[in-house]
Amino acid sequence: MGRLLIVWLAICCLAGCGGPPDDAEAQIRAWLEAGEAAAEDKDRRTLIKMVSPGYSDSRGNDRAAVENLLRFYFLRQSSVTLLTKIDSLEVFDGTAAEVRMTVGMAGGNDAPLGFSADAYRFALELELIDDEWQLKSARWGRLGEDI
Amino acid sequence: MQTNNVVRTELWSRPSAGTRGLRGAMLAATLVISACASLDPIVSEPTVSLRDVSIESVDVDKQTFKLNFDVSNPNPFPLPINRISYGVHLDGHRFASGEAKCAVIVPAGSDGVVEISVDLNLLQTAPKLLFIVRDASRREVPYELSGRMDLDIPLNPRVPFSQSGSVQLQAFNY
Repeated sequence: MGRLLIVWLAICCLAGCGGPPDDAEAQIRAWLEAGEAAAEDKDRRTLIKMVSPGYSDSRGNDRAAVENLLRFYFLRQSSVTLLTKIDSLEVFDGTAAEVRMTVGMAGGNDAPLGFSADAYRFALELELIDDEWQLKSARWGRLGEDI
Repeated sequence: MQTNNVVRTELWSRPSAGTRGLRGAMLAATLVISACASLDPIVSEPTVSLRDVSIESVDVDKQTFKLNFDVSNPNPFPLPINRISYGVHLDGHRFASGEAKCAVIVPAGSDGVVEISVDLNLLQTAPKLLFIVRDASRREVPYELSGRMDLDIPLNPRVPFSQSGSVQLQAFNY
């Protein structure tokens, strides 16, 4: 009986200390949904706030370049629609995360057919800055290619 | 837009046997559409010109040339080029054409160089070009360049380019 009590107390302590294990994951999923909605609304300001001031990637982009790229995208695409699927989500120490996702993108424009579509895989590196998740770096490639 | 969001949630976040099939079909449709679609580029078109042509090696049945293209990026963000298809005419004669993978990033508002190595057998395929190539080592000869490049920027179509000018062959010892 005494042993059962100790085990029960231990379980209670562990449950009390640990907190919800998927807090960060839930935050990141919400962050991704917010980003997707902002992209579809062509809301560049919201999107760029989600990018870390120290952003850099292997294609030579910094935060300013990302903002310029988004400006061009939204200027030349009358509509943007995304289909996203999270392939994996890993959180490290509650302050950093890597998300791998597949994104189907469709854009409308003024060209003869007026429509374009593509499917890409993304690997996003996130960091927690002042209690907000921000994009620190990203890699991407067409579906089927290495990233 | 709201309707799209609902559909998207059903398709992507709660996979079942049925939705997995539908998801696959939509992704396949997306890819097929991407292959057929004609669209405006996201980026402003870069300028591409032939900087120089040089000979890497000469043999009876194979001559290896190196083509250097200058790429000027007018955009306020880097251009990652991952494939280039090209055709080069020297003095009105087709000199080289093909497609090559590359991994070049042209910085924002700046220039970069794409280097392509080409193996030719001019003795067999175009003997006249040998004389043009020899002339090109002594004087500048006119060239015409055209092609398209793949940029690693989602939703951006292949970017066409064409340019004409004159070029002198480098390091030609005949």
